[in-house]
Amino acid sequence: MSVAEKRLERIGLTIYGDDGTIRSGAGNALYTIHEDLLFITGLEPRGEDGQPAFVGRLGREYTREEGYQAARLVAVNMLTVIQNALGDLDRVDYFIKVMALVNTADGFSDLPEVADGFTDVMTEVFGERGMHARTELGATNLNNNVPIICDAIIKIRD
Amino acid sequence: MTIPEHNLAKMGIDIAHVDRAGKGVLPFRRYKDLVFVSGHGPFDMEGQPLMQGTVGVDLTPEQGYEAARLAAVRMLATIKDAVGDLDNIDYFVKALCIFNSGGDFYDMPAQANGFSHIFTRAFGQRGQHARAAMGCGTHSRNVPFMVDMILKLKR
Repeated sequence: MSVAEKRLERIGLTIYGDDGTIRSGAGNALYTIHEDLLFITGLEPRGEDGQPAFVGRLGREYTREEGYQAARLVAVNMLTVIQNALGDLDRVDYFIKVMALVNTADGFSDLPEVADGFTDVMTEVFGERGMHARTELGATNLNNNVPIICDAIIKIRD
Repeated sequence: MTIPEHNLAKMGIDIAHVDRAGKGVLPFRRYKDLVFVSGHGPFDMEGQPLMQGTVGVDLTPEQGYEAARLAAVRMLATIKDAVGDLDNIDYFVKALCIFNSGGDFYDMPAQANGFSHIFTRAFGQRGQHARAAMGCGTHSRNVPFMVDMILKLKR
């Protein structure tokens, strides 16, 4: 078991066995690899059945804390994609950049606090290597009306 | 518990957990000769917003330009911290400019120049960059503008 998987187990999270359920539509790759860079598509907070586990907006259907939990589930989806892309989570060298799109209504502006759900999982699993530059924005609509979508650029170990 | 931890426990030493909750975001992350800069807005060095509001609703386009300029000023502090000496910058690669916008405000490129002009005036041709500009629904702390950037260092 990889170091990252042990840490995941310790915080009570399990990645999905297969990234097939995360796939949203034909023609859209879940990730691409260029040399030692792994580019991950924007991912939603989906359950293991592949269905969105959160549907709604921050400031309307969801509170900040619920948004944080949705962001943690996005991280679980991303770890599943990374595991399938690299075969081993320990092949992650470090995270470079994350874009967090938060579905908001009524002027909800606690975007960093929501996106921290994603970032916290990555630092819990990868430590310092899970830290990253990040941009958040409050979107007016997201696919499936999910509360948050995150993409990432990751450096793969040489 | 691992053997070292067990031995430490016998000595009465309990290793504290390093808590990174809420602290995982870096102002920038370097990859080879590229620096990826996090989203920056019109904030002061203590993180207090210098402007708040929505361009096209309670702020004018001109105020949007000023917010973009203030975000550039704040980002330059991060960039200088990242590269040490601004002469170490080869050129700027890409910026994403995001306005908190509403009403009939569609003039994002012109007002995003509040950000871009700082770089072209300071760095000349090397300050030019590919750019996307867009409007969104909200920003952190209700600031009107956020921008991130990728820049290239000299080898």
